[in-house]
Amino acid sequence: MSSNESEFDVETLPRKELVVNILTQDVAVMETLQEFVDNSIDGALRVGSREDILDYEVRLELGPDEIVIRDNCGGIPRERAQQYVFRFGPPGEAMWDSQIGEFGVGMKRSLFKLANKFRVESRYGDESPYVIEVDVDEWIDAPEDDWSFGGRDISEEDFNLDGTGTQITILEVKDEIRSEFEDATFIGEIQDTLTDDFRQYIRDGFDIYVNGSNLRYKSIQLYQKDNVIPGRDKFTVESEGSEVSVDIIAGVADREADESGWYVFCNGRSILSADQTSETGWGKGIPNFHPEYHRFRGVVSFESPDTEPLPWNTTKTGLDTDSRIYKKAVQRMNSVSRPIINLFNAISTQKRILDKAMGENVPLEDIIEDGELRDIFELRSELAEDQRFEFPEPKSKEELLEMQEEEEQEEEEQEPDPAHISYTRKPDRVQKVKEDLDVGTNKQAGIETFEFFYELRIDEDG
Amino acid sequence: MASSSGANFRLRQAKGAQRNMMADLLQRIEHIKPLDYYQYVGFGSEYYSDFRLFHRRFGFRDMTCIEKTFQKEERMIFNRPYGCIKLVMGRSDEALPSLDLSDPTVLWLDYPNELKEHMLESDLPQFFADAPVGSMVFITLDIEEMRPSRSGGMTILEKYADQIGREYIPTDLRGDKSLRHRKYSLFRQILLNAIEAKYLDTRNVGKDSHEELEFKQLVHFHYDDSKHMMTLGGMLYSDEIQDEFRNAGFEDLEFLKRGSDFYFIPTPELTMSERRRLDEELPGLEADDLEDKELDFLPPEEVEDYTEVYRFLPRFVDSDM
Repeated sequence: MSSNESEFDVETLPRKELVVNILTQDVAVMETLQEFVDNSIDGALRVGSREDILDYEVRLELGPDEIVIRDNCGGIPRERAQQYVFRFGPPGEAMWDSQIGEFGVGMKRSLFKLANKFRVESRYGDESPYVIEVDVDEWIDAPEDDWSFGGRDISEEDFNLDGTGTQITILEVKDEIRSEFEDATFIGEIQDTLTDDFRQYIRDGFDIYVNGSNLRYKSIQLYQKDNVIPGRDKFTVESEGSEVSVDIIAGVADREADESGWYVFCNGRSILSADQTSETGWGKGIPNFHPEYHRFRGVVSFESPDTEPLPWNTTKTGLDTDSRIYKKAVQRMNSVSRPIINLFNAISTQKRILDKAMGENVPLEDIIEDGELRDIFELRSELAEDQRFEFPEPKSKEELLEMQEEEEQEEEEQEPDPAHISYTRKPDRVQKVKEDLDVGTNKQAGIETFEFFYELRIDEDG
Repeated sequence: MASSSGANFRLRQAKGAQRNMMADLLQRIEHIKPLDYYQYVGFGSEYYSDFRLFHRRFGFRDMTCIEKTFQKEERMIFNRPYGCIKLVMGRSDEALPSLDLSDPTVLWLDYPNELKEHMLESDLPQFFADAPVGSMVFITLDIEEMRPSRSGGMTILEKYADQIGREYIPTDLRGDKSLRHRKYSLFRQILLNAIEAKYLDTRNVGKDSHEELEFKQLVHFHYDDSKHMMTLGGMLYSDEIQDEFRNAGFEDLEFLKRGSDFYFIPTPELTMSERRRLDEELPGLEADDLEDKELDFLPPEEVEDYTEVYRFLPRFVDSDM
């Protein structure tokens, strides 16, 4: 190295604008709301157990001018807020235990996606409440090396919540997003999505309000009776020192195109709903999903205190289908579904024999629908952990055709005896009527004239 | 799944010998579990030869015959030799899902045709996902059909990939130019790759090492009654049955093949009288002895084949009713 060579620094500090763009470019508005609810539930699970979830709630007030997300889910400790929660890329050891959400990343991303200005107020435990208020443009325009948000303590009177919890207020919604929140259909979609996503938590008593209305639990149900028994397979898998419990339940319900398929949950959070694709095994080991399977409902739940081995992607919003635990689950899901598909084949055979349309019931379906519709999560406490799906032996072709014949006969027998009418008229006049009607017998003339009158006066539409 | 096309099924010598060898093999699974614990699932065709043999010999009571040709249903019912045989109509991938393979199972997928996607995508996955340790599976395939000469403009591997799905072609075979010469071991490789790397690898997730399932190949037959056929068979094994497996003594079976080489079942061309005469000298007859026994008019290679398989060859003078 010669003496006139000098050392210099190469600048790598990212610009804040770039960070904001990268963080928000792939996130949909819907996902921001899902993330807020994830964070609330994670908060509740940090301060209480899964059984205590019924004491907690989150309220979303969504409008084009202001968005408020308020929960009573424990709040964020001041130290965490100061050092980690809002930091871009918090150090690994500082990651907060999250059951379903992606704490830190999710919240910042959502705030930047929605807001020009936002405020986060929180109180944790016995601490005094504080507020962090950010004007995004001002923050970007501030000196390049100043990445901090301004926080301050507030008095009890100024704090918007009773007790502990967090309130996020989007004080100024970004222009390109405002219009979405003006649309009532979008609000409806949000309600539906959150209802599906947090189905299990809502069932357990967690309250989610969207613009005042409390989301109601949407049950996934299966028919059950003595000879129609849902299938189940429950097992645990050890993975890298942590245990994952996998619980698969499947069976049959009413024919619903949009509700049939597999539902996948990780720690109670829905990852997939009514899936009919190869992601849940259709067409891989079992046939492709088919309209004849519209009665199929199945749930697979992965539970683990440690979220790492659960088969979700890094943002916890979708599946990691390459996960070995997930592949094993799909293998078991296939095994649980096979006898159910076998039932659908038997139903199709009956439809073919009896010449029934897809929407018309055959005897096997009548037997199923005679059962009781039961909530799939409720069935967990009753079904054996290794229960093969059971349904009654289908009737043979001969028995079916015989049954059909008997039914038709019964229907015929149920028709009232026909009434007789007889009267006499002058033959030449009868002849003229017969010629006019172009019929050969007096009886036909009688029937035709009656029908003519009936059509004209009684049943004008024919 | 009837294999009744072509020559009378029962006159197929090699197929008959194979069935008898399989029976000798199955006899030994008694060491793993009592034979009457097992269910037998096969494609019997209207002759039900395997069902007759295995029921008589092992007392299997839980037997299911799969038949894909719906037009044959009445014939299948008419010919059913024992009341304990359940008949399920449909192609294997339609019929097997109605069966519970989580009981100890002997499954013979006696396909009369070449390897197809549904075998790898539905039939085998079900067995390897559900069947308990100690279960047996045999897969018979027509490998004549997939002769390279019929592959048209495609390379042979493209043809297979097209027929069974690209993902089933083992990675180490892709781009291999010598496949033409390795056709006979190729199918074994494809099957074992699917069994080990797909079905069992997934099933073993989270299992302790002593519970991990392996497929222990025990037989690899090739024969040619009218078409070149192969059968790969073996047991679902884990270390939990290590001692029982050892006690079964599979190694003593002369047709045992645990690797890529196969046992070719010969079909000696000898008359019944010649066979009866040779039987008097068996076992222990060597080709060199023929002159002493005044049998040197017999072709030595036929005699050699015969001494190898005489115990297993079907005897057509016997009535099998």
